[in-house]
Amino acid sequence: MADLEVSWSTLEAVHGALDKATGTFTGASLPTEGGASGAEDVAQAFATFRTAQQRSDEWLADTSRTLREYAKDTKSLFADADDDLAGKAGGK
Amino acid sequence: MNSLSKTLLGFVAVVGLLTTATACGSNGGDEMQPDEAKQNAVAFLRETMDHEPLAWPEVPDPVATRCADGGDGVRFQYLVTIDQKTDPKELATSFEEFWRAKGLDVQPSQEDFGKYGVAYSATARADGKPWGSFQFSERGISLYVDSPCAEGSPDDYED
Amino acid sequence: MAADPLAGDPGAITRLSSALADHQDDIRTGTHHVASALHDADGWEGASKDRFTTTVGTIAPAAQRIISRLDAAIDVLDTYAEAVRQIQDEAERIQAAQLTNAVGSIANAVSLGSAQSTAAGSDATEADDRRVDRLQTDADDLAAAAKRLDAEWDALVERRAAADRTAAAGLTDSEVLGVAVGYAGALAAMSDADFLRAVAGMPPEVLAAQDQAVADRIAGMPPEVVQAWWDGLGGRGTAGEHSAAQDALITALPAVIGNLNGVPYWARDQANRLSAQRAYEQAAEALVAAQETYGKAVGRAAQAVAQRALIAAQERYNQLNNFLAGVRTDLNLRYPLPRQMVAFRDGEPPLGAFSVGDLDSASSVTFLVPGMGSSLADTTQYMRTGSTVQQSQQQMSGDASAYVTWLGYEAPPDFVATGDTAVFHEDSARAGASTLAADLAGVRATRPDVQLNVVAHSYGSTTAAIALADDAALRIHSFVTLGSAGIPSFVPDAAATHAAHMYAAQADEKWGIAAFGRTFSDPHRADPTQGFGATELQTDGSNTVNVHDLAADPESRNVGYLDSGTKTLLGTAKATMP
Repeated sequence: MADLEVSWSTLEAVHGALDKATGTFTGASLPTEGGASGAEDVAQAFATFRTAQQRSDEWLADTSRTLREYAKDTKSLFADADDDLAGKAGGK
Repeated sequence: MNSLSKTLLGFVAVVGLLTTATACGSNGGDEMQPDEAKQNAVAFLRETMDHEPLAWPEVPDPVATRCADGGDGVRFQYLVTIDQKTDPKELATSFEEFWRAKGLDVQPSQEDFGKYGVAYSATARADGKPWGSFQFSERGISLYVDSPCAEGSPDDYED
Repeated sequence: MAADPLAGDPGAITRLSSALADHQDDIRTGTHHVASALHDADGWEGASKDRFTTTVGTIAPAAQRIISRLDAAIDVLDTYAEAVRQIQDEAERIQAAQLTNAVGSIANAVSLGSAQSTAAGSDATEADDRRVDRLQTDADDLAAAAKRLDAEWDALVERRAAADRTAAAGLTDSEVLGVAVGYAGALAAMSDADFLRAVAGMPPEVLAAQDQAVADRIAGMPPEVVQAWWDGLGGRGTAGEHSAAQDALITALPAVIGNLNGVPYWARDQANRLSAQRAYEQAAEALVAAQETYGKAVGRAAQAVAQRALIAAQERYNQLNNFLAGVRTDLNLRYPLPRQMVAFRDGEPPLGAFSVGDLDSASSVTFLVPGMGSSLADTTQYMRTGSTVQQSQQQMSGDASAYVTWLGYEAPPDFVATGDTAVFHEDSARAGASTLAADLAGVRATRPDVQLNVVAHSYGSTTAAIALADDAALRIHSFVTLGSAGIPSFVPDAAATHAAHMYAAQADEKWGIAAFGRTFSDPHRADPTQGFGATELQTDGSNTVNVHDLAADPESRNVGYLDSGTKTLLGTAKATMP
């Protein structure tokens, strides 16, 4: 496992921070126009803007989530390594 | 309802009953606890390894897998491997005899892998006991032990 | 429709603007957490960090761009709110003046009429005449004022229309959307080459914001075009080292990229993990909601509906949960192998494929196609089954075929468990065959010389036979059927599958499930071990395999086709040996 140069606690911290990021991005809500303008063209334009913004928000959430899972997967390599080492050392 | 449908329904009824009966198991529905099933398997694995002095590694953690397609329960599969030059035919005979002597139903087989030599394998089964199986070749050894079916599900053992 | 100077609520518009400002704060907060993660990741080095670094670096700049776009939207709304407020104030003033004018006009008309009568009388005086003149002048003044007020109102309507147009244009300006609002049309009109170039040039969060039509067009591109495009964006790439443009495509269009033939499998894997993880989290929330609804349902009818919904939600959750469990599930392999989510298609039901082995570099790839009753909830079980074959191969040569657990079709329900007779018909197989053929073609397109095999169980062999017969260009090396539920008559023999080698194993199954499937198949399906031209795979060193399953029940002495130590396992391992 020559390419694994990181401590378990580092990955734990990274995972935690990205989990918070994902939650924040997922929970961020956008307002709806709800007739505030009283004008059809403005309402439609707002809807177009809102849809685009929502998808961009989802991208932020998706990307954070991907990184979070990657940190988690890398962290679990530790668990496997630990098991291997324990198995070789003491037997189960 | 036409006769084909009746036949189909009849088949479903019969197989349904058989499947249920089998899934409940020969010990009347009480599944073994996982720890006991593992202990049984490990004991059997150890005595199998002990009978042949090789550079065996430590007993590894098992993989939890299903007992039967769609049925309940979990079984634990242990795999021990050694990469070393062997006389696979000799080893196969030795393990088959050892398991037969313990009362297991042993079914051997072999396959010629051309440049990789001949692979010798076998399954060993017994009611309510751990199973064994192996594959030996010039290049090394694979030894499997499957525990009896235990209470639970493989899903319980996923991360 | 003419604009209405009185319409709308400036206060509400201002609240929209504030809500967007709050949204900016949320994005800043999220970005701070990402910055913390980056800071925490300081002690992380090596190849595993590269993948992290490539992607994490895209978030802060994108967030900054998003915040800038929100600033532009906020400006538009603030300006608009002020304009609407002023226009409404002016409208109220005009309307008040018009009311006063109207009242005055009526009063004047009454007075004028009366004065005119008096002036026309026999005892009328000069004063009466002068009074009439005065009132007439007043009438003229009032009329002129009314006309002026009407003109002011019309001007105000035009002013409001202009304010509306400005706001609408502002909200859909490229400064707010990241691209011009008509860009979807512009993209659609482009040639394939220009379109792909434009797509690759977009920032990820803007690409993610585009219409479904963009994703659909990419999904329809042939593999050679996709491959050339992808390689042109920075080479084939690896999970750790790839270009920003490639990373943007993966994160912005994961549903497309994850299943796009011509894209390397490390990229499909990253895209599919993103999609699957998101789908799983949503399914978990939906399950909780369904449980709550069921708990609160009152009355038999409502309870029945809620229960059906709960069962469906649980099923979907189980499928996605087990598919994701494939990432980390334990496997009894001699030497560890990397894993790739090579396909994921969210839907009802969700479908996918999970490889043990790297499809970009393995010297052999084998698709494991299961039979009736299978779903993503069986992912880890099939991965374990495949790994038994792989371990056998690793023992012989040190190398193994990459085994793809292919759960890419909606398999017919388990007839034995449900009584559903779909398994006797071809419909499910035909539908599944086109997806299987497409996924096999994806491997063939990116790996022109790789050994490509198919191992199919039960109804999976029906599906696979149709897929293989349809496309000779797949160049399948070995096609192995285990306990086949029968091959349709339009695939009359092994040669028709175009596979270089076909092997068929049919054990003397305890309850003859495969045989039953073939006997009652409609249209009739053939047994590939009988006069089909396939090499029969021995199922017995001496009567070993005796049930239909791939792995049997340890309560009995039953043995499945791919149980360790069996002759069929050896045969399958040999047939799919790299």
